This record gives sequence, structure tokens and C-alpha cells, in this order.
Amino acid sequence: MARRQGTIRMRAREEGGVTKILTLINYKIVTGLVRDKKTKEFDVEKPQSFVKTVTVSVNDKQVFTGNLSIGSSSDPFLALKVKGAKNGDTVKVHWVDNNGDWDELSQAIGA
Amino acid sequence: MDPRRRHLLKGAASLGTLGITVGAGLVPATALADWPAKAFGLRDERQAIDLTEGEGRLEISRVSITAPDIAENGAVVPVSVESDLPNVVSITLFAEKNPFPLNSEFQLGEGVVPYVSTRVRLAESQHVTAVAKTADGKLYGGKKLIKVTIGGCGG
Repeated sequence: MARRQGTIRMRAREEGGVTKILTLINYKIVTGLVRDKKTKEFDVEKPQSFVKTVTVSVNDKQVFTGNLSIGSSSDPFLALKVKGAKNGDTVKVHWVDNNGDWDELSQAIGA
Repeated sequence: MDPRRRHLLKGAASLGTLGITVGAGLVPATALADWPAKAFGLRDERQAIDLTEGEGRLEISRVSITAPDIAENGAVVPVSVESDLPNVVSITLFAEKNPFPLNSEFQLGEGVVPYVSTRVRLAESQHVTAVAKTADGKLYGGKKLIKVTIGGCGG
């Protein structure tokens, strides 16, 4: 349940009234589906680890929720577009994984 | 111990959970739903679609998927979904031949354009389905065949 600092990279740009938000989370996903080559059993040494939920807020108003799974790539990437936000507005990205670890980042649009 | 007492206690406990659920319902709609563990655990694509989207009729139109025709590495496949529909409240991605077909679910609040781009993991060559749900509960879908050279289940 610890915070992992500095895992989020974000870019938010406004163009013609639409803000595109790109975000990349530095996170190694472990599917838990890898079998040991000898025993053919699931490798219990590598328990599942994946980003469960990513939320995006603009000026403290939550606008986007992404429920991810082990089907996302490592270092999950998300891009979305929001109308009505302008340069200088604050975008906050927050993620939590299946173990309760989390991180968040706030950044101004255009910064 | 009196078995009935046990029962009663259990009842009280579940009532407690119910109370919490009802309480959660009061949170504004933008603080959208919890991670749907049951749907993510399903092994069958059809069931996963029914559970996450409700058993409405899925019309394959007006949702487009942009992704490579051939993905060299199944562990990282860029997929973008876009739609021209008004009032899309959610976009959900399914990968039929993955161990767990429900891949990811995106809930779009007010002012969010029906567009999402992400990177998924594909176990083998397969059709990826994107389902967009509008505010009136109608379902629209898009499908794309992606060929995978190296499967993405490891790691």
C-alpha cells in the first residue's frame, strides 16, 4: 500500500478546444500466467501484479476511469481527449495496482 | 454455539456490506464504478461482453479500431478506438483469444471525446473487439483482426 514516486509521465496539450492527454505509467506488469518450464505449474514466485485503475481528473473533476487488467502492456499507456479544458488547467492522473500501491501526478495543460 | 446466532451474525455482516454499497451509490456519477473483478475473470468473450455491457444487441458500426495488421510483439500492441457517436459513456476492449478476454474498460465522463488509445497484450492472432456504450444504453462495436508473431502472455 505504498506510494511509488515518479512513475507517471504525462503530456497535455490543448488544440482547437480539445485537450489531448497522454500518460505513461512506469510499471512492470506480471500476468501470473507463466508456467515453470519443468513442472508446468504456474510460477508462484511471480504473483500477479498489474495496474487496476487509472483515473484522470481535470481541475479536480474526475472525467475518466480506466479499468485495466493483466491484458495491458507493461508500462501502460493511455491517451484520451477532453473538451472544454484550457491551457493552465490542472490535469491529475492517479493509478492504483492490485496490491494497493499507487501514485499520482498533477500537471498544468500546456506545461 | 447456537447455529442460529451464527446465521444472524452473518446476516448482519452482509447487511453491513449492503449499507456500504448503497452509500457508494451516493457518490457523484463521475466517481465511476469499482474494478469489475468478476467480468475480468471470465474466460469466454461472449459472457464477458454480456456481463460488462448488459445483454443488449451489439451493432458492429460507427466504432473504429486503429491497430497494426501485424504485431511483431504481442506484449505491446498499440490499439486506438474512435467513434463518431454522441454521448458515449464507456469504451471496452475485448480480445477473444486471450486467457481473459475482457481487456480493459474505459469510462468516459462529461466532455470526454469518444477516443481512447492504449497498448494491449495479445496472446495470439485474433480479433479485437471494441464496444462503445451510449448514454441511452445502446451498444456499438468495432472489430479488427490483428496477427501476432510472438505471443504476449509471458512476462
